[in-house]
Amino acid sequence: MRRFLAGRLAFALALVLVAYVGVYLLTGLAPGDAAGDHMGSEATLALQRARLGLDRPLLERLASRLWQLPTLDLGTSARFGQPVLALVAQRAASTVQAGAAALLLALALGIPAGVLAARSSSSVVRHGIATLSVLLLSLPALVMALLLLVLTSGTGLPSLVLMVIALALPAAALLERLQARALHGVLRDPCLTAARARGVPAAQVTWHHAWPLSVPAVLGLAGVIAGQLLSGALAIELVAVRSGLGLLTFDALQARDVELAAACAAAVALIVSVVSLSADALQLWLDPRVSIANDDAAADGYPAR
Amino acid sequence: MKRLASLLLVALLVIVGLWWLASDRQAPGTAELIATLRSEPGSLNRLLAVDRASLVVSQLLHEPLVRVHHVTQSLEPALAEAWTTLDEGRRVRLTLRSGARFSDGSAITADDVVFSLAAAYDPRVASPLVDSLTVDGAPLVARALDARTLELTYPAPYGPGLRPLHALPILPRSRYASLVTDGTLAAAWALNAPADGMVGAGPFVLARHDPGVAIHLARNPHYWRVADEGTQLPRVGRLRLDIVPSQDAEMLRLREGQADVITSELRADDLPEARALAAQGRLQLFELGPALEADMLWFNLRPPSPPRTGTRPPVDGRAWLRSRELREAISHAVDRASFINAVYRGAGVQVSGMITPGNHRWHASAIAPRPYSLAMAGELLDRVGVRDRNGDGVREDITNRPAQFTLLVQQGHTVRRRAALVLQDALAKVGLRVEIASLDARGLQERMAAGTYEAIYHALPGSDTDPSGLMEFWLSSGRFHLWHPGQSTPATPWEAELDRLMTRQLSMTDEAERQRTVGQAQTLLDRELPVIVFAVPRVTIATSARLTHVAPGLLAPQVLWNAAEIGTR
Repeated sequence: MRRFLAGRLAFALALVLVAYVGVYLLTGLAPGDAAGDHMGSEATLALQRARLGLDRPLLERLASRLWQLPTLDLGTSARFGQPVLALVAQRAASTVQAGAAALLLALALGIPAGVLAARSSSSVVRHGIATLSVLLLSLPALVMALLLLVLTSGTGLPSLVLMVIALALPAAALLERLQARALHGVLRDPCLTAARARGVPAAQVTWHHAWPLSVPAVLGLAGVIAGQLLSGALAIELVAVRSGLGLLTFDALQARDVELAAACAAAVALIVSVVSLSADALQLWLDPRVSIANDDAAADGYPAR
Repeated sequence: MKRLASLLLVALLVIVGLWWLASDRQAPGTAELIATLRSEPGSLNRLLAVDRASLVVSQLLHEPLVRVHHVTQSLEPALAEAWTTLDEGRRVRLTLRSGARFSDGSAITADDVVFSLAAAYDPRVASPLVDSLTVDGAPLVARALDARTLELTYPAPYGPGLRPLHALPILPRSRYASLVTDGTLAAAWALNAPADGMVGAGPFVLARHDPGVAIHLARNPHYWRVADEGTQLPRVGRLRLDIVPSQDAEMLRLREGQADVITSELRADDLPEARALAAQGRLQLFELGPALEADMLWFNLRPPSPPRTGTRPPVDGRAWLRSRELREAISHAVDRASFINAVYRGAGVQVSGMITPGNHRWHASAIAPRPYSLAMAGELLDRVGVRDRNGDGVREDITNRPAQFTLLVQQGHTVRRRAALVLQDALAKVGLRVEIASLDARGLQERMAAGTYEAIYHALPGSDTDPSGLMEFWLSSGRFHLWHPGQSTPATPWEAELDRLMTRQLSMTDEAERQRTVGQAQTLLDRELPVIVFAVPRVTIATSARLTHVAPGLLAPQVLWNAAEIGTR
């Protein structure tokens, strides 16, 4: 188990590094640079480029940044004139705050809805939940946020609440679909058939026996849900008036702020990796079979899952 | 045990979540003035400001020697209460206002002005103000005569006089001299820097910054300005600048009374709703007339690369794209009235040049837009060999290829995109095919600088109304000489003439003569049409009804330029 987690940790660090370098190069190679687009002369522009370090080749800038990375010196943002690390940390905190609250809300809505959709005897309930989930999943995050903004305007609803709801609803829909399918899968397990044959009440079979067995399948996609929450954050931050990592990334890309854009991408990769890793660890803790399966796979010469 | 631990974990997370939600609530019933910004400023110092948000906030924190009155567009005293022009405009003697103080209570002296000007020229600061403060390639020289008097010496007679100084923030030497020397001035004025390290002479001081959410300003108790009735300004105690990244969200805030002022004028699509809200007494609207900034169409007029020596030059089938006749034909082919209806929903004015009627002093009213005439447009195109040779409704160039070009517009800019579609339709009527491609603003600028485009529909970055602020556009060597920037020598006789006229007007101290010369330059520009302007929108500003003493002008920031005077009911 430790080897498995160590492997995932190494993968997460590599992912963060790849995201950083990739976005650094892509932003640096995009047309235009971070020097101001004001009505200035070539000479003034050259001075500003020199001040921002843009007069050095991109690869040289990247190499020196990577050299300073172990000390967490991510440079200074050309757009905001502030240290990149502090800027990203502030905004990441805001996004994680909203994302965590949205995840909680999504779990609170999605898991019971999934169980209900899988176990309800009423086809109206089953189909109703499934249709609502598909509808929520197919609505773009921006449309969802605008819809909520219009519906709640004048209510004085704080921007964080608006953002949490807009982020949580599609995630809840995804969780509902995952939960319903996972539950369908485990209900055919012989242990549950045996429990029903012994006269255990249906609700107890569902919540005490079937649901814990289905949780690992849902947890396995935690990284995907975290990614969905982060990608939805940008669109929602635009209308919910709450500047987090999404809007900061947007600003950085628009301003061709290479250091900031790369750091934002690395932060997003880090958050998704941490969520995935935590979900894996939780899955291992809840279901020892996963650990055994990984150890068996490693012993057979196959890579652990 | 595991189940209990899981329950406790979930409960803990819910409690933390609720605490977060509670901490987000804003204090209700605040009596401050609330405005919006589209993004956070890059710097709070005008010496370093380039983005629009920085320009707005730095105007609130700093005070110049003179300021541009945004309604009259003329210069008026600020920290300098009077000045005398000497030696035929080569020297100006300024007297500072008695008792003027910085926000830390220290007196503003002539030495601080000398320091601030020197800081603007310091290469370690790399200030974008350098260009406007440079005359004939040399800096202005400031000399303190006593604590309240200083003398400015110009390298040559300079028509705009003190005008460029409206952007120069006056900073205390005692505070910032060492920061300029060690190159850390920018860090001291970054948004995350301590507020007590920011000393200016503007109406407000930085109180607090909520990253990504709002900038809170408080009244500067030492601000010099006093209202006509004797009230010490600023009238409001606090000013909050909320970061609202989209105009849709800004409009919602204005409608719901959560913002008093928004970043820019109303969009044509928002006007009907705003008028209804004004009728209900929830908003006040100000009609300011034609906008200052014009969107324009221009073609890449750089000559093609010369052929290698000894080889015969190939037939240039695209030469018609650089012809004056094409530009003239386009100007005739677009029905400006329909253009206004489609692009600005009827709220626009037909114009012919890039100095619009909104620029009261410098607009050449004698130049009229070209009449709408498809026949004239067709005749002009025939003249450059662009004809419909196969009768399919699309003209062909001299190499028999369809006459088409790619028009670049800014991605996400609804009005320009709409205008590009109108142009596409209008030009199809005279047999020209237009492909529209979108790029973000930086990409567009890069294409323009590299000359890798055929046509662009865009605008110049905002500047002052005085033509001296647009020299990078007018001069053939300029970076914003849109159609052919950065020329070492003027490529055409008319560009040489444009250079001559615009350089001459800078040295004219007689205002009327200067206006005549700039008028001649505009006439020349209209004759050669390197940029084609069709119309500009009429500007309508909306503020909440609770504001008093609002005097919006066309120059940005339209409302907050006199934030000190604005009060609440």
